Amino acid sequence: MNETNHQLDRLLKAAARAPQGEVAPASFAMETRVMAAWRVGRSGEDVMALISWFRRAVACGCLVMVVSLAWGYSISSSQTDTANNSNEPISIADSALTMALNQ
Amino acid sequence: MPESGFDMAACLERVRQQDEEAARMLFHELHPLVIKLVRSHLPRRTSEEDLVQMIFMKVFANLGQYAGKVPLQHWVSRIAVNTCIKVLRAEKVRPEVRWADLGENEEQVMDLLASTSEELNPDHNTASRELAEKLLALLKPEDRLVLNLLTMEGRSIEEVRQITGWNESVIKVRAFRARNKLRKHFTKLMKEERR
Repeated sequence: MNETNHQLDRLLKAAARAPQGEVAPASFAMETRVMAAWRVGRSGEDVMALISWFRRAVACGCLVMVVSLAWGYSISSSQTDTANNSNEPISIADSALTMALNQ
Repeated sequence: MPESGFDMAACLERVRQQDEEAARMLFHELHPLVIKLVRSHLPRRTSEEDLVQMIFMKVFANLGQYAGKVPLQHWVSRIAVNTCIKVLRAEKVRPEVRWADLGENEEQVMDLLASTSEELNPDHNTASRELAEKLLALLKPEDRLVLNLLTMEGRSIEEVRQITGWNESVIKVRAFRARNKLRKHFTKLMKEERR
């Protein structure tokens, strides 16, 4: 076991000493491919931003619709109440008249 | 990590504002780092250029998520390492190294390792590296990565932690297990030599 460990150590040490290949500057082809991918990603980002803006606009529209419906309902119900209240003396007079005629 | 007169923060800001020239500058600044990592952990069936492109696409796509808590080089290293591991995992099949697969120089290195106990001559460094890479290719991607960084590149645990994002104990345990597995493969190859 120790012998194998020693052999492996020597192998790895020698391997680590091996010269690494020089890192050449990025080729034009590589740069073009990466930049093209970046441009595509960027246009994708624009579409995503547009979709997100559209979603917000729809949400705002829904909210305005709900508020206006609620407001409209409250106005119409208050008008009905007012109408009911304004009809009350007439209905009292009507029922009093009916009762008097019946007697 | 590359440290030049390059103003990374300003460049990043310009890239976020969709400045193509800044994106090009960032690519050239990070290219040496990415290419070194790719060469150390290159999957067999993927070309170096394809993998570099894949990594840069991920870097640019996720640049908005970079919060600046760690240096950009560390963040990019993690993306590069994780991409390599993912591609290596997808390959699934790990080759088996047999004595017959070794080149003449690699056989010579094995002979020297078996017959002497001295350090190998510098002339054998390249063959040793090729042999070591063949043996490392038999390991799981994560094991291969940790041994590559620690033994072949001579990085510290802290550096490995920054590159991989793994914690110290995970790195130590993984390195220990990886080393044991590597020794098994090496012993098997040695036995073949003795036959």
